[in-house]
Amino acid sequence: MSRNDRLSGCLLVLFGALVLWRASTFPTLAGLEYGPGLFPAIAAIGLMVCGAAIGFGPRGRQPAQSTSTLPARQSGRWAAARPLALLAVVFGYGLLLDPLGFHVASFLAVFATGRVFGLRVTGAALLALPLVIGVHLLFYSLLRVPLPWGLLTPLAW
Amino acid sequence: MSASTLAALFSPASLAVIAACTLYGTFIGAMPGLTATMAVALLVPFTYFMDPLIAISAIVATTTTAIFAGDVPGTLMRIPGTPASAAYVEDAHRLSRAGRTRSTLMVSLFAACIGGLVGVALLALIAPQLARIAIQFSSFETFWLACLGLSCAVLTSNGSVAKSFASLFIGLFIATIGIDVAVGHPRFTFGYYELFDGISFIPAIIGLFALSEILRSAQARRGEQPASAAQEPFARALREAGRTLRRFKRNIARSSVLGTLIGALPGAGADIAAWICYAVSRRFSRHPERYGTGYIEGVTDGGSANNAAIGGAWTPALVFGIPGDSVTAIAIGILLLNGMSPGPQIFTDSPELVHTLYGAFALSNLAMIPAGLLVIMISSQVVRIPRRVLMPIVLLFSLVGAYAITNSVMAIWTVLALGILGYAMEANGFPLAPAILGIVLGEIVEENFMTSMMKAQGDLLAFFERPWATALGVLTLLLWALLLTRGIHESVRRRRHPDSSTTSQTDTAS
Repeated sequence: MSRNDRLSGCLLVLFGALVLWRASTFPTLAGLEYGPGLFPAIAAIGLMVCGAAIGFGPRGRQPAQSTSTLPARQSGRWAAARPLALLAVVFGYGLLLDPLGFHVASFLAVFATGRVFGLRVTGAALLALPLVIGVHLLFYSLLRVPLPWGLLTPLAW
Repeated sequence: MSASTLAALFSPASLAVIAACTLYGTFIGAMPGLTATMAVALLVPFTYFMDPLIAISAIVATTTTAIFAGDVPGTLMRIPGTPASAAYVEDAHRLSRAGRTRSTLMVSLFAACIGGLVGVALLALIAPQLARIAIQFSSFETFWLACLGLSCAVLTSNGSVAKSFASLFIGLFIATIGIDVAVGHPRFTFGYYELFDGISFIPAIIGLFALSEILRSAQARRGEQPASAAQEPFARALREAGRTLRRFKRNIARSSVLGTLIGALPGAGADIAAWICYAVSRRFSRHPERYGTGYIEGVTDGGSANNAAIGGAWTPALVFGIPGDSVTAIAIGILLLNGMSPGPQIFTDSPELVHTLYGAFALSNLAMIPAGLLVIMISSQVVRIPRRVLMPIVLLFSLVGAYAITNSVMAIWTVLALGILGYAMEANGFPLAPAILGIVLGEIVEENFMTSMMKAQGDLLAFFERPWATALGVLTLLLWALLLTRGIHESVRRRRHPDSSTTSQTDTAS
């Protein structure tokens, strides 16, 4: 992703305007001129001012962040596609967690993530299976988190 | 420290947690691409199920060791494991290329241990004194303090002033989601009852710090730089490290104290402390020209400063409830979830918490030495664990950890939304620290503002009537003026030199 200041500035101004509009509909405190809308309005105005300064201020090339903890970015289509594929995995996990249950959904999520990062099919499956069992033991058995069973409800214990 | 605190600290459960978190922090910190903040974010769901005293020990042990272990991939591969190691990565890596990997890492390990111990000693010394003043504070002073904390977060962040402020306002906006504190009006909930309590804090930080890092890691290049192969014998490295430490003992002392003080500034954490102490060290060095070319002096300074800053960051957190960095912001969130509110009264109400914190700091700094030596021995293997195995594990723990807190899929959506936000922000040069402070402090600022306004019946001048409130208010306003001038200065300079660098970090570093 390139550092597109004009775009992010515009988005901030737009978002600030939306928040300001919503905040103006909030009720006010009895006897005071402001209420629940005050702080959202402050944040919104701040976002609009900063957005304007970022998007429409003097242009300057930003240096690369010197605190990067990762190797340099790779350009190319696959590099941009991988984060999107991961977002799809998380989105799918959110959708499928309740209907499929924790175990099936987690297996699929780990498997898919492994594939996105370049694991082979068997490797991804070999990673996913023990990991799901381990997380089950840790969260369900030890921490007593009621993880949903979904499809596997008949097997639940 | 009372006997009961000692007994609690040395109980098998507490010791086991500290030992486990020391190893966990060392491991996560040593992995390129997994930062100390992320280590804490992944730990938080577990701390939710722990006794608050043990939870605090767990966080302390994890951060202490993760900040040191960030030097491992920095030294071997020139990729700092956490941003706090970035200041002196060039020197450390060049030393490693010259075949001095182990002695360099040992210097950084012992410097980190000394820095950490000095940090907690100063914390124990200063915090109770400050608390004695802070106990008289009312909602007016707390409001100004929180504003001061937010402004410091902008002042000390790495990005441009406009972007740091934008990040702060994003955090403040997120904090306003949910039922409002004054009249109970639902804000930005769009009818979802699950949002009435606001955005859940733990899924939010997992999204901002863990998912965003997984996304960035997915974009990074696959082929990694080979780690340096040459290794010195263990005993010789230890002797060499001992000599270096004796030679630069003044540097370590100076940077430990300075690092603690910088860490105590709200918003400035271990990374800023390391940058500033490295710069100070170069200015006072006899060989400033050798910095950046593989010279060990800067490593002793940066290595002790970043660990000292961890202790320092707890000072404002404990005394005022105003976090000093992202990690203490998370820790304050955990204490609040457990029904304890940090602030001056914590020194009288729950002294055991404060004492456990000191004890956990001292203990984990000592436990870090064997754990650190272990990781130094096997460092070249640790940094080679492939990301394709690691990242699916981290992702699953992020998602299940977030779900475990709320038992609802809303947590997954929160992680997803804030993960995208955090990724987009970092990719475009917006620092994340102001946003997380905004989320934590937003509620404090608003609550104290509303309470104060109701007390003063709408009279804004009441914010300047009490002596401490006046002092803090004037300080805050001065800081705002300073930030405004800096922002204008920045944009003027950019207009004159459109290609010149504009981050404050380059300023501090040079």
